[in-house]
Amino acid sequence: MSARIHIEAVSKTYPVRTSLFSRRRELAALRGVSLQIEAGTTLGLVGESGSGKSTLARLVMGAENADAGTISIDGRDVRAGLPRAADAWLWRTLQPVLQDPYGALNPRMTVAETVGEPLHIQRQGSRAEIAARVRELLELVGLSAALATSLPVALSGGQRQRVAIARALSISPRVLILDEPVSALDMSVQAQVINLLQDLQDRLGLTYLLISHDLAVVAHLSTHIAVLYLGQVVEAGDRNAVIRTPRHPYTRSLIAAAEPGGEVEAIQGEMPSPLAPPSGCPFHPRCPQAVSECHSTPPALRRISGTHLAACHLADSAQETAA
Amino acid sequence: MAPDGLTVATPVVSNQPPPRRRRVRLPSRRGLALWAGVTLLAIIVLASVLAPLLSPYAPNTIALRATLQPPSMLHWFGTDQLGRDVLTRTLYGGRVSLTIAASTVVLAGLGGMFMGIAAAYLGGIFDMAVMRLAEVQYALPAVILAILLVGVFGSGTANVVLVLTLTNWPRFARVIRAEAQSLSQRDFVLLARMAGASRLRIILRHIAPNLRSTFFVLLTLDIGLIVTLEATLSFLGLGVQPPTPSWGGMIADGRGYLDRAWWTAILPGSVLMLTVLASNLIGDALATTAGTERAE
Amino acid sequence: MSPLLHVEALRIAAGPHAPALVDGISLELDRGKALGLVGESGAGKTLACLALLRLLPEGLHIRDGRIRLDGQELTALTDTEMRRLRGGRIGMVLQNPLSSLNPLMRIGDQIGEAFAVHRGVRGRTALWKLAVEALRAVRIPTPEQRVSAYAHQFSGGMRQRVAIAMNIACAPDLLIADEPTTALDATIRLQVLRLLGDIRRERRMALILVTHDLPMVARFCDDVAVMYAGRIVERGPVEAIFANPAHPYTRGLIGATPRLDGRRRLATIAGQPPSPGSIATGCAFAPRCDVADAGCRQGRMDLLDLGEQRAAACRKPFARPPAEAAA
Repeated sequence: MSARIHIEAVSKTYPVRTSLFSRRRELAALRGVSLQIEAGTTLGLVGESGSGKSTLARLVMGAENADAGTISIDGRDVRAGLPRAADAWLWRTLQPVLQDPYGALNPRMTVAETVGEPLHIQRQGSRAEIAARVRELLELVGLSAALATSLPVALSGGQRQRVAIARALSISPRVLILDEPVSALDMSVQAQVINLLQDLQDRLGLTYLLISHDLAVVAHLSTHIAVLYLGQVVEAGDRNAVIRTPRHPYTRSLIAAAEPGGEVEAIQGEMPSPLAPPSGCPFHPRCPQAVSECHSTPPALRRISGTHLAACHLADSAQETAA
Repeated sequence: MAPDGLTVATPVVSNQPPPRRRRVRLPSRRGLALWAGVTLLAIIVLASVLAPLLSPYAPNTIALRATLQPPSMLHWFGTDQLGRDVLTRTLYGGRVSLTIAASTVVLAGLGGMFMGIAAAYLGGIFDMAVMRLAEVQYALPAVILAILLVGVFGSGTANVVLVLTLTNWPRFARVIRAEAQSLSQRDFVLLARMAGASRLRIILRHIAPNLRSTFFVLLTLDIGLIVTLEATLSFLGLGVQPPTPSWGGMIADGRGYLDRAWWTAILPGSVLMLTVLASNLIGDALATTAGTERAE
Repeated sequence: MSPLLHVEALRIAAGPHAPALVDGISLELDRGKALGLVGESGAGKTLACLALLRLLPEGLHIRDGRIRLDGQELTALTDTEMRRLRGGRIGMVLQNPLSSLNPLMRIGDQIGEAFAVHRGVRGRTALWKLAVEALRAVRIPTPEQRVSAYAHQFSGGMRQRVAIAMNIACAPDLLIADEPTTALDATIRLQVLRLLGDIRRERRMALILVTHDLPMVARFCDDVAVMYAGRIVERGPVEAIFANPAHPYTRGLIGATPRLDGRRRLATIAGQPPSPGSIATGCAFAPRCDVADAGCRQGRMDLLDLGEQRAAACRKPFARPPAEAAA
C-alpha cells in the first residue's frame, strides 16, 4: 500500500485582470515547487493566503493542470483530462476533504446517499453491500448509524465534516488531500476531527497532504512540513527539524505567531502581491536580517541537514539566532 | 434593577451579521401573505372548475330580453349585452384562462429549465446561442412577439399556449442558468467530479434537485404574468375566439358599455386582477423562503 | 476604586418566555486592562458585546441586568445618548474589516466622520488632519497619502488597522474587538494584536477581546472569561486559569488546543454545544463533562468565588477524571 507523491518543479500561472480596463497580467501562483510525500506520512503545507498552497492542492487532485513540471503518485502521472481509465485510477487513489463542511454536502442528499455516492459511481458492490459499507464508514468516523437518513441541514459543522471524511474514505483511497479540514470548526470539535484524522491514518496507513494556514494544526498532524511563500518553498523538512530549528526567518515568524511565549521580533509589513513579486529573495522586503545579497539574488533551496531544506542566504548563520 | 421587558429598539448595524444559529422566529408576515395567496387562488380555481355545478346558467345562452342587467340576486355579476350571465361567463372564462396559464408555465418552465441547465453545463457555443436567443426575445416586448407569432400560427386555444410558451421560456432559462452555474461552483459538485461522477449524474443528482425551489418560485410568479398576456391576446381578438368566454375577451366586449354597464368589464377584470395578485403573493413568499433556505 | 465597566446579571432573550441566549452574565473591567472573552460559536460572546453597545439584532432585547460604564447606567440611556456613546466612549472592531468600511468613501472621510459626530469638528481639511493622526496612531505608513485612498486599496491587515483607527479616534474608554484577527494571516494577526496591546497601554483604554483563539488570550489579555451556553463558566486572571483551570470546560478547551510541540493526542470534549432552550436543569455542561455526577444535573449553577479573583460555575472545581488523576 505505498502511495508516494512526487511533485517536481511545478509552476502555475493564472492570467488576471485587475480591473475592466487594465491589461491582462500574469499571477504566478506556484514557481518551481518540488516536494515529495512518502507513503503513510503527512506533509503539512503552511503559508499565508496567496502563498499558492491551495493551487498546489488543486493540481495534486487533478482538478487543474500545471503549466510546467510533473506530479505523480507511485510513478503515475496526475493530470486533468486524462483518458477515463486513468482518471478512475486517480479517483480511487486520492480523495479530497475540503474546508467548508457546509458547502461540501449536497443539501438534498441524505448522509447515506452522500457517503455511498462514490461507491455507486464506481459500481463497487450491490445496493446491500454499499449500505453495509456506509454503516461501517459511519462507525469508522464516529457517527451514529441513526444519522444515515438525515439531511445535512440537521447536522452540526463537526458532524458534516465527519460525513465528508467518511465519503472520502468510501472507495478506500490511499491519499487524502486535506484542505483546511478543521479551520471552519469550533474549538472542541476541531480537536475531535484532528484526533479522528490521526486515528484514521494509523489504522488505514493513509498518506495525507494537509493544507492549513494554522501552524499549530500543521505541527500537530504532520510528519513533514513545507513552508510556502509567494509560490515558492522557503523551508521544508521533517516536523521536528522545521519547528525546533527553523532556518528561514519567515518560518521563525510563523512559529512566533503561533507560540504563546514566542518573543521573536514580529516581522513587518505584509506579503507582496503575487502579481508583482520582489526581486531577489521573495521575503527580503519583510526580513529583519536581509543583507544586500538578498535584494539581488534569489536564494536556492538547499540542504541544511538530512531532509531539511531552506531557501535563505543566511540559513547557516541563522542557527544562532534561532537558538 | 432595570425595568423588566426593557426594549432596546436600535437599528442593527448593517455590517454585523446576526448570529446564524440562533435565528429568532418572529411572527411572519410572509406566512400570512402565502396563505392569503393560496386561499384566493384556490377559490378562483375551484369556482372555475366547478362552474357547471355552481351556476344555474350556461355560459353562451343568449337572453335578449335580459341584456345589460345590473348585478342582482339573480345575476350576481349582472348580464352582458347579449343577456348572458357575467358571473357564469367569468367562471367558464377562468377555466380557459387558467388552463392556458397552467399549461404554458409548465411547458415554458420545463423547456426553460432544460435549456438553462444545458447552457450552464455545456457552456461554449450552446450557451452563447441560447442566451443570445433569450436576449433577443427579451428585447422584443412579449406582446409584440406574441402578436407576430399568432399571425404565423393562427389564433385558437392550442396556438395561444404554443405562442406563450415560445415567448416565456427565456425568463426561466436565464434564472435557472445563473443558479445552475453558481451551484456547479459549489464544493459538493467538485467532490462528485473527484469521485468520478459523469456529467449527467452531476446534473441529475447535484444540480437539478437544488434548483427545485427556484423553479417553483418562477412558476408561481409567472402564472400571473401569463394570465395577463393571454387576456391581452384575447382582448385584441388574437387569443381565444368567441363565443368561448375568456377574461380578455369579456373585458374587450364590455369596454363598449363601460358608461352604461360597468360590470360587464370591471367584474371579470377584478377576478383577473385577483388571480395575478394571488400568484404574486405566493411567488414572493416562496422566493423569500427559498432565499433563506439558500443562505443556510 | 470602582471598575470602568461593570456588567451585572445581563440577560438577553427574544421575549419574556423565550430561552435566554445570554443568561445572567456579570463582568468587571478596569481601565487599561484587557479581558479575553472566550467561547465557541453560539456561546453568546458576540451578543453580550452587542448588548454593551445596545446594538442587539432585531427581535432580541436586554431582559434584565445592568451595564455601568464609569458609573453611568447604559440600559437607562435614551437612544440619542447611547448614539453619542458609541464610537465616542465605546468603540467596536469587527471580524471582517472589508465590510466595516464603506467602499465608496475615502478613508479620511470615514475616519473624519467620528470627529465630526463626536467632537463637532467641521471642514474637510480639519477632519483629514485628524484622520492622518489617527492613521499614524495605528502605524499605517505614509498616512498623508493613504488618507485619500479607498478601502479596496488596502490589504486585509491594513483595513483592520483603519477600522481600529476609526474606533479609537475619539479616545474611547472601552474598545470591544470581536474576533478582530480571525480573517487575517498569522503574521499579520500578531501585528494587529500587538498594536491593540500597545494602544491600550498608551491610552489606558480597556479592551474586550472576543476570540476562540486561546493562545492569543494567554498572550494579550490580563483576564479571561470563558462562556458556555450563554453563561460565564469561569473567569479570573489569565495565568492562574491557564495554569490550573477550575472548570472542566476550560480544562477541555485548553487540552483541545493544538500546539507546536509534538504529535500527542488532543484532549477532547465529547459531543456538541447545546442549543438554547435544550438545557433542562442543572449545569449546562454536565452532559459533556467528564467529572459530572447526579448532583450536577440539578438546580442552577452560579459562579462560585474561588478566591484570588477567580470564580467558576462548577460544583467540583479543579476536579480531574479518575484516569487522569491516577496518571
